[in-house]
Amino acid sequence: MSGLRLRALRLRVSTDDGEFGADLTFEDGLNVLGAPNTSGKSTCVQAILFALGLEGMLGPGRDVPLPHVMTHSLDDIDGSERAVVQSEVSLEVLDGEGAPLTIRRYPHHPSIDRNLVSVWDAGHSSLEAGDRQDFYVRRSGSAQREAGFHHFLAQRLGWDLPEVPRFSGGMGPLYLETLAPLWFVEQKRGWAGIQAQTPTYLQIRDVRRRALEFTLDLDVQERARRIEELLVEQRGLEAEWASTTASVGRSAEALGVAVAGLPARPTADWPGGGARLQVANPEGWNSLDDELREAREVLDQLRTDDVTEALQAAPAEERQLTEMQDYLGRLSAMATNVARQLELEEGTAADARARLAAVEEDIRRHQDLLILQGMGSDVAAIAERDDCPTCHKPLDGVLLSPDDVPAVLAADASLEVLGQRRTLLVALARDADRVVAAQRSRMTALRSTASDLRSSIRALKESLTSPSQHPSVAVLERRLALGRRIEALGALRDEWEVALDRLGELAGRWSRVLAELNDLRQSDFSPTDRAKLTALEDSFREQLAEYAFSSCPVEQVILSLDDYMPTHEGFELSLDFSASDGIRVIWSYLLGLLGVSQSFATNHPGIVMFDEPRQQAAAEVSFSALLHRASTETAGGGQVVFATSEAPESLDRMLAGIDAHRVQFDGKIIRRL
Amino acid sequence: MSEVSELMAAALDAETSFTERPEVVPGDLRSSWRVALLLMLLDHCHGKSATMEQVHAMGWAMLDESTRAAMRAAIAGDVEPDVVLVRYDPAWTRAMDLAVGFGFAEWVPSSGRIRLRSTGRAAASALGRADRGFTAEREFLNGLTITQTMIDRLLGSVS
Repeated sequence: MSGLRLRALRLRVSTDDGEFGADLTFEDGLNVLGAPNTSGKSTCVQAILFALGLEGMLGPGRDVPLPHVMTHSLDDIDGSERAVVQSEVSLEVLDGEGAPLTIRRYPHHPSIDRNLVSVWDAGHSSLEAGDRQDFYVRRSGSAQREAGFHHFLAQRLGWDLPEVPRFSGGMGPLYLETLAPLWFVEQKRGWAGIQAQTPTYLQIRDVRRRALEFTLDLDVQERARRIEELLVEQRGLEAEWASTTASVGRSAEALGVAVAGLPARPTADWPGGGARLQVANPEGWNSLDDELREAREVLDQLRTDDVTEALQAAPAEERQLTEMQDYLGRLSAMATNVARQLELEEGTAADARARLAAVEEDIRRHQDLLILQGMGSDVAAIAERDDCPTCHKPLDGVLLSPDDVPAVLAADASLEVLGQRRTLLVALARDADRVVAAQRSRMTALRSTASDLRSSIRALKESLTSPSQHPSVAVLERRLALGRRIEALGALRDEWEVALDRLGELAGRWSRVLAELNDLRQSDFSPTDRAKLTALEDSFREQLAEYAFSSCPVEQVILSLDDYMPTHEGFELSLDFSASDGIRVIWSYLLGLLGVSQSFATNHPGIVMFDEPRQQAAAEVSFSALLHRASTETAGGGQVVFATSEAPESLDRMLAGIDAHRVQFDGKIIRRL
Repeated sequence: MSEVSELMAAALDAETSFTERPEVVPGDLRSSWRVALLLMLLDHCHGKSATMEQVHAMGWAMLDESTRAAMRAAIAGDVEPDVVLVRYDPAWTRAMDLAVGFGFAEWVPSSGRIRLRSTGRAAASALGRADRGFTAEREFLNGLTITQTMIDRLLGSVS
């Protein structure tokens, strides 16, 4: 079971002239805290948030989210100002098992840090008898470490906070601050929309959807977690594939060998055929096997020749020397040519990459445009108007000088064109890379051949000047060089075989991951998930009708299965409508979530708090219906707390016949004790 | 005259008209994209308003990963001396005029500042709340409150 029930809130303020404070109690079911504006009603609501260490949902700032009266000074009954020396917030709650907990935190204290939270396993009345435990909050690790208050609180509420993906790429906990906007609406900014105050600075991807899935305890969470796991595995496979191919590529390049037909990324189509090693020689390319075979034949021939026979005819040797020197000159010219081509191809590859980056950025912007349209944002309407609202010159949705405005292709059609450009540029860049690698191998081969040739020339010169009975240095040198080359190429072939085996294994895992991802992405919601979402949609629509929502026919409102937000004709609901209907949408959605938690196993805390729920003056009749609904919704358990500045007499009228725990203040809530 | 020649003659006599083929205009030159970004930028400025200088400096920085990185470094006080921090981009001027024309923002009299109006605020906060779109730009703006003092310090003008 999960849950949280408020029992009592105690505020204490010590000033330079006596003690001030307030005591509030809460019951199960509907609680209405009525007090005039500026009486300290929001102070009480925010104090509850502060006691729970949840002020991070309001923003990343470190300031205490409480008014002056709790931190600096307050006005006494005679109007004189009293300086605050110390203040304390103490909240008594029942945890998920119905056991009492008292949570104390100091907004202002001369020596105790405000991020220290003390907790007793007892109510206010028996605090002395309970054991005290100290925790910290609003510091890194508060949700994960034993000493963190949110770690403790989540446990006591019966929640196992999931690990969720972050923008940075890693995983992190779904913080309590991201869940609170589903059951707590703050007066100032909370009424801007459903989950308006979900903190985005915590860098959690799809944070609102994640918070909803956890709160409703949807099975899709498991699916999302598995998809994330598979994506991580995919990235790992890509990295390993790249390092395997790069490693064998480096060994090959060092020997003037090019790797051909090896895909740059893992592929399910393996071996697919065509992956091979090609050896560059000054005349062209040879397969590794042919190269090895030919080299062995030449070596065998050299071994059978008599090393002294070659020197019988010195004039022939001299002719050979001239030929070799000519060949060296040609090799040098070839190398210059290849270097020029290499530079050109490297330029092409870099250019394709730069253009690819620009096209990808542009694709992202066009996707932003489609999102703007999808949101139904007012800003998207700019693109639909052909002329400037001020000067009436043609605009056509672009920011170019009116004289330069071309015929503009629509954003979605542009995306298609840009996608084609991207495909082309990726192919261009890959092809240029392939050519660059081959040219490099060619260059290495030319250099190596030239170096061998220089050694042979040196050896030949030496042979020509040495006594004729000595063995030919040139032949010996050639034998040694060929032997080394055969050994190196053989080692490369072994490395290649090992790499191919490894790539085969990676390709197998890759295709399994792809298949599972595909299945998961196509799989539907579980029957329980569907039942929960249908219950939420039904309750939501029913309430909209009860609260006299009028912006569109209620039966046309549906919950999007993408982000669980209510939509009308494909657009998010709360963005289009009048302020008062916007408020009705939030009431209906949050009370709907509470309602679902009464019939299904969820992670909803079973409590909803609205600070000033008539903020934008929805009609009295709808507010009365809201009070009624809150009362019936909590009849089987659960708690709803409304803090309102509604006049007591109109509250009396609206609450007639409704079962509610009512706390009414006439003046300042925090008073001299 | 053969059938083909007749057709040819008819085609040559017919009046020909040409329609301009629509072009892909870069996303950052699309008015709704740029105005949306402007609203998000103003939303992060102190008092929801900014000078032209602020818009051009931060606007230029927001458009590209390299300029975003340069601006982040500059804010952290760690910028190379030859890195450009602000460029004049007429599209920002037009975006400001459009935002005013469409009622999202207003010019603050005799201060040269552009300020969000309530519709602009609502649009900016909806964009800020969205989980999708403008990810890199939002990440850049998050946690940043842009003030004139900050811009002065960045651009090295001492006042």
